[in-house]
Amino acid sequence: MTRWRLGCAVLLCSMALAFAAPGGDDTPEPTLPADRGPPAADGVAVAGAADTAAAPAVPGAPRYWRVRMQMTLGAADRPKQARMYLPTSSARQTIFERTVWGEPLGYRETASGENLLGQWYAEKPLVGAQTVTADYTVRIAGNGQSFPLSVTERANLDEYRAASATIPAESPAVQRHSVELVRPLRDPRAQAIACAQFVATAIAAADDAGPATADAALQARRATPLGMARLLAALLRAAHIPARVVGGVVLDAVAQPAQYTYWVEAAVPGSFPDPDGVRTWIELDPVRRVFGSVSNAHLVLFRGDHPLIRHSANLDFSYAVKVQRLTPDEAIAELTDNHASQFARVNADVARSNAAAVTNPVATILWVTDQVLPATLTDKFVAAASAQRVKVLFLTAPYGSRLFRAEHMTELMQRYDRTLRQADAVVLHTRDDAGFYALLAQGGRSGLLKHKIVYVTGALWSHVGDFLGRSVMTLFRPRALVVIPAALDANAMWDVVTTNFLDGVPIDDVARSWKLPLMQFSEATVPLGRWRQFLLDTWIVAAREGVTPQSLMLVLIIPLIALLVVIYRGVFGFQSFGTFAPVILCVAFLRTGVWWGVALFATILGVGALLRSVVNHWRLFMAARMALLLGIIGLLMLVVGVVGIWLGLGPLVNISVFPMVIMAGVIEQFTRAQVESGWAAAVRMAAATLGLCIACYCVLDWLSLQSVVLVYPEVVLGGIACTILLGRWRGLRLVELIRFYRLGRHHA
Amino acid sequence: MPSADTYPSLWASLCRVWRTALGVNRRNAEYLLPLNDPTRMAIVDNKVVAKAALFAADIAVAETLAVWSDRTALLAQLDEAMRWNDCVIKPGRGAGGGGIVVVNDADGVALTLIDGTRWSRDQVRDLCLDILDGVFALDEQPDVVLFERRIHADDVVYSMLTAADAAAVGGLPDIRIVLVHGVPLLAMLRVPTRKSHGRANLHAGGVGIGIDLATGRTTHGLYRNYHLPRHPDTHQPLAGHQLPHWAALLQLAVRCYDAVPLGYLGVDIVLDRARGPLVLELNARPGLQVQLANHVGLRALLDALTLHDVAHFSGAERIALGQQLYATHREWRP
Repeated sequence: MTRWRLGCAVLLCSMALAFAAPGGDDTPEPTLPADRGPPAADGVAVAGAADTAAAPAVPGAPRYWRVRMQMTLGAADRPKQARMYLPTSSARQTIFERTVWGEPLGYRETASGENLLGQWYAEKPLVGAQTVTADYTVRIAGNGQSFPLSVTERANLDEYRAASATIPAESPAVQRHSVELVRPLRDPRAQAIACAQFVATAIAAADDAGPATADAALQARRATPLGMARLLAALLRAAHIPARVVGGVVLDAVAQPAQYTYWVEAAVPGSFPDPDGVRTWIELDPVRRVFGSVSNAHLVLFRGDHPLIRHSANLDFSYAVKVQRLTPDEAIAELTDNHASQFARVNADVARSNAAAVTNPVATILWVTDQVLPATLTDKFVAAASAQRVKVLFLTAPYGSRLFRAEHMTELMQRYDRTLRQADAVVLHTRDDAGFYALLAQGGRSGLLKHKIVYVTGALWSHVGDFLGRSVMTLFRPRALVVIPAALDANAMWDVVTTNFLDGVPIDDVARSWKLPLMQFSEATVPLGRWRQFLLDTWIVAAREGVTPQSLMLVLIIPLIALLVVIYRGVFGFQSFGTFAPVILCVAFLRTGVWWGVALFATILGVGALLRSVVNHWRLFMAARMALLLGIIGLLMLVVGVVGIWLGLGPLVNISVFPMVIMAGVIEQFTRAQVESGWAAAVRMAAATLGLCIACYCVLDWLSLQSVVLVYPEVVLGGIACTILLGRWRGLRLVELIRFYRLGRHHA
Repeated sequence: MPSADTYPSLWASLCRVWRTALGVNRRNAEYLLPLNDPTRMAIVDNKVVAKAALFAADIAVAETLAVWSDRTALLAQLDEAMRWNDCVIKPGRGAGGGGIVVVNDADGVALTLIDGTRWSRDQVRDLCLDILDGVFALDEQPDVVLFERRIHADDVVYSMLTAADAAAVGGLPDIRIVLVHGVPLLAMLRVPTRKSHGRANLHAGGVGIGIDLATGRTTHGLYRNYHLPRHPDTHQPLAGHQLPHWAALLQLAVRCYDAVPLGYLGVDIVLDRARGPLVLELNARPGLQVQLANHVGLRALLDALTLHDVAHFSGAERIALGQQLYATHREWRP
């Protein structure tokens, strides 16, 4: 768990450029640039703050916050260290995103009981003041009256009933007050709320100098927040209600810097209609008047009666917390922004990862998908996973082009290699066979999926699924490979995975009850026939050597595209620029996706032809003119690529593979057609070329044809036979037939 | 317009077109490849060589002023060429009429083209360098520059089609005759329009007019795949005109076949004001638009032609056969 977090921190450190780098100066820099939040969001935040101050926090929609915690360590002549509790995801709050940095200080994380302790240390004396920062994007559920106990909490409930040094539940004064408060009430929940209301009304809030123990608070009728929390916990424990002190931050967009504070969580049985139900946690904050609900204005940093920060003695030390309320949209944007920076700032709008980070997870699921997962869905999954103490990481690469999707998913898996290696289950939830290719492209890393359960789903032919499944099995030797050869939506896939993987229902039963097609692979799967097994072994050897199946596929598929060109020209009779330029362009489309491909083709052709007509006046000889065109196209592609990176449009970055020489030829032919037959004819021919490219692309993308050539290379022989047959076709081309027929009708 | 019931059904028309018309696939596979020997095709594709062959057979062609095959020749003669008025600069193996410049007047400093633009010496040199580089050649291989005496179109053709507007339309109408095994099967008159900038190529926007092979009268107009009853610039009707010297034109075409015996041959003939019919060029792969202009399917004619053993026919017999076939297979629709 911690390892993952640390890995994440290391990854995220690299994106520190999203914020101003923390300097060593004492003036606290603003948490966010002023232009970051629109005025409307501020207004909402003010209303939220008023809520928490005046009345108990109203349970409502989840709230999103950005929290920045900073510690400044002054100069010191000896090695120093400082420790701070850091928030973790739990049933009441979800940490979406975090960045921790404190260069040049060392940093490590340790689990401390149920809390996470971040520790910064200087091995050498510090020269100037150093600031360490932890940035968090969090979501507070706030959608209920309570939240469930974890498994360990349920087992250790007695611990929360026992008196301790700081929570004197057996002190006579506490006992007396407790009995008075709870006697008239039966419902433990109502008893807990009564205790909290007593503390809120009878004990006045004091600053840090006030009494901080329960007994002193009762005596003086005033206490610090910690004192109030201790007193309340003692009262509750005296009434045999399990309770614990919780430390955290008040999320208030107005009062800056935000306050550390303490409050109490009490485990009460459910009230009507299920009074004997399972105990759940409610929150009680006498200072901010939260009585028995889950406050969406509190961020839990740690549980237990601990000081928040510890640091070496004689250290010039200060800290500050700044929070900012985010709208859900902003939160999503935040996440995508940050992840975009991880992905070299590519694909900011689409590539996204969501994670439920749980301490000591019972299992880890890595979920890789090429579909758009709406935030509501990921929120739901993340919450469900957290509730079961399951860590889940969602990686999304939702693009049009199959090739690009697969490549991007491969890249994502490599980026999150640490999680991948820790994961107990790997889910590839894809539209088609892209998931398999994403896996097979990592053929060189044979131990990758050992001891894991791998789920792959996507619409593919069962024969293809069988072959690719065997390939994955042979290459990576996972514990089990479950292939569902159908396009499932994320909800259904989530249910399948959780039912099988978490609840332990056999996958056969799961598939049968939901009527899903199912293929299972294990070590015992019977081998294929001789030829096909030979083929499989060949591809696997290639994959181990780093030849991705996709590059094999491209080689095999070219004759089939050429066949399409033969049909297009010989049977339909359409003209195109260059006989096989469309073949090359179509392969380029496979990478960029068809619409981006069309846009790029049109842009390059348009701008190229325009500049070509300018160049025409210089009267260069042909080779020089073509070289100049190549130069123009190269610069154009550079510009498009840079724009693509700026705008975060992944497919545009792929333009580097867009075949330059072919495009130069197309531009040249376009210009000639324009000179000889006019603009209309040239544009018509360009459109015909483009149409051929699109037609080729559609056929290729249709029905997993790309996989079919890999699984059945014999198809290529069939394609060649068809080419020969069509080459002997003597009939009228379709265009000719129409032309002759149409003219015949004019004749009177 | 005929009443609706005289039209055959869509399916019947399509079937008839299918049976009678010759498509590119069949032309290439069954006629071009077997009938046209590649070495002879090379003769036809190279204007200089083709003209030599025709000249040797005593067939009238446009007068050659100069042939430049490299830069040395070009630079040596360019200054002289700047004084040749009434000439045409063309690539030796050009395709589709690209790179052809018609010079109206020359004063030693600049050339005045027929559309009135003036080209300086440098512009002419650049054009010639382009031609030498093969920019306009069929195969984009290095080419030669050909200077020819300009042909002045016979007013007869103009007067019947373009009336008083002849000068405005300009260009050179030509007559294309398609011969298979030396038998003339179809012919069409190609007339420039303002849109085609003086060029008679149908791709460039010229008008194609079918010619009744038996009589030499024009039949239908064709403009960019559409039926066209009148000339787009002069609005003269295109059908029903009698071409002059029709028998002589056919004989000239047949003699071209004897000079360059290509089984599938197109002959482009122009009527020069002073010299009468001249062969402009030969074409080894004539397009299929001649069928559209005539509304006659070549395939039907070719099928009928196989019944005759034309190998030993004289020129006159082949002409008679062609005229007979045309008369019996007049149109592709009833």
